[in-house]
Amino acid sequence: MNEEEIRRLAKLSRLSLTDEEVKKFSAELKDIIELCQQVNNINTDGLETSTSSLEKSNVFRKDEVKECMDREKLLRNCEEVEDGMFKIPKVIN
Amino acid sequence: MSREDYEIVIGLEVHSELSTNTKIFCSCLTKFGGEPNTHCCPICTAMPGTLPVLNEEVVKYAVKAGLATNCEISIESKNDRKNYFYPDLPKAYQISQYDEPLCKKGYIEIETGKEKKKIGITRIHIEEDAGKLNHDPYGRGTLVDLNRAGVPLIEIVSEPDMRSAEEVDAYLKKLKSILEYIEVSDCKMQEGSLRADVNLSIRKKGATEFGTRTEMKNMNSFRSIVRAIEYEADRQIEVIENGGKIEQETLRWDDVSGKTFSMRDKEDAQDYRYFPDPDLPRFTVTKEVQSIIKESLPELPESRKKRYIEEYGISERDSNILVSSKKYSDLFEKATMVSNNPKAVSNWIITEITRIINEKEMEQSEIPFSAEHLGKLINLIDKGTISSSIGKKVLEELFENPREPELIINENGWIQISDEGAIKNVVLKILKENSQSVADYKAGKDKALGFLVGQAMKETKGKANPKILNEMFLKEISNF
Repeated sequence: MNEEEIRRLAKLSRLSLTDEEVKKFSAELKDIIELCQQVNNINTDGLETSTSSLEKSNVFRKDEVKECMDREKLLRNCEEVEDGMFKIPKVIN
Repeated sequence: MSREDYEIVIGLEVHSELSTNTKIFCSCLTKFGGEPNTHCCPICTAMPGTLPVLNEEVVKYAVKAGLATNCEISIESKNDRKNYFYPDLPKAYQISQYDEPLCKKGYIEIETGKEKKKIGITRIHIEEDAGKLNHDPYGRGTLVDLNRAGVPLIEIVSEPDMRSAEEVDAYLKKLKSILEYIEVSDCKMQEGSLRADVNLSIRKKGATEFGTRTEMKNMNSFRSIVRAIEYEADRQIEVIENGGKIEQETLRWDDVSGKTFSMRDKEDAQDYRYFPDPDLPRFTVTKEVQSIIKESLPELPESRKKRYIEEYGISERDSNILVSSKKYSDLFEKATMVSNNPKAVSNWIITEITRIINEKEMEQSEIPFSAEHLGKLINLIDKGTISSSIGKKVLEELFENPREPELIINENGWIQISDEGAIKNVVLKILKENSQSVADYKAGKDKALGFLVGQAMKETKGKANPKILNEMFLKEISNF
């Protein structure tokens, strides 16, 4: 995990990092990835690939409408609200 | 080198909103419109700690779409996270399907002119729609409405099998009609429930390698798609002819200027970092379930068309138009049951109804009157109660204020005059008043008769039975 990769990931996540932070995270993420690498060393011969830690499969919901959330409640923690909508900094299309 | 030396290669990604009652991962209403943020809950607005649960109907609808487009249905499937940051996507990832789509390897058949062609369907997968960004009228910010966030979509990815705007148009129309027939989407392009991304590249004729492609996003009218394809193909050919190189990029089509524009700068190359969604367990569609869904599919356009040609004697061209939308096809079948005159029903739909729809810029699905109304209108013409020109007026009324055709005729006093005595009086009057035309006719100008008949029609406000009127003129004119 070099600094360039950290900068790219930060950009994809719209995070602004200082040079110091880039250094710090680069080192920390490297440790985390190394830790995870240990999992790759486990012998999985003969085991089926799994994509979920959930044992169950086929958990479905019926297509029945339930009451939606009260709008005031929904928007309560929003910094700025206008016309019943979340107001955010201007997005240039 | 000129345009004729190049081949255009097009593949489409079509997004279609499914018409389930509720969203894909929560129980909020999917209905279009509604006050902003009133069809929302903690799940579709990505509040922390919420858990999505898959709507079983979404799977069923997508399987229907897969079966109707000759796809293989995967027995095992899963949901994946597609990560990207944009404010219309509150979780900062879209739940979609990556390497195990629900349906794959299908095709649909299209017709252009006399040619039939199979267009491959690479895959169909399920995913969630994003919210809608509105721009603050004072330009001070962006307003986010999440009613659409979490509305179920299927994405239908085609093979790069299309070679012209005409083929794309035929493919989209066919796909739209199939989705309407199986009732999985209302396909209203104006409301964005059907939209297409167009991938386009060019290559020298005879070449086997594909050229570099560009992608035009979120096109939502047939007309724009056709125009955009023509423009973008020309642009790419010009770049190549001038010794340039096509950049692989995402473009935005601007309908007003009729041009494409680059949407993102190159260094912003997308990297979606897909991975299986740990909140959602895998799901299966067994062979048994597949065959139950298959049994439930309604008759598809191809089969209806065959029936119209063989049973009703409708021409292939007209049958194609009738089955192009479920609304037309249902209207045709039900009105034919009422009137027992399939050819007349077909003609009224293809000429008069289509004309009015085009004038009013409506969608076929918005036709306000019932098939029974149309069938009864045709009965009234067939029985001679009204002439077909009055029939057109009744049709206009049906669009304005749908009610029983008989009632419309009575209210407006439009019943056809078939009484010979009454018609004779009108004919005599017109002959008296137009001696010049009578003389012209006798001098061999057949056209003069048409003028006289026209005058009589005017006099009776279009209500005279045209057949009796004509005969009466021919009989009486010799006495003048």
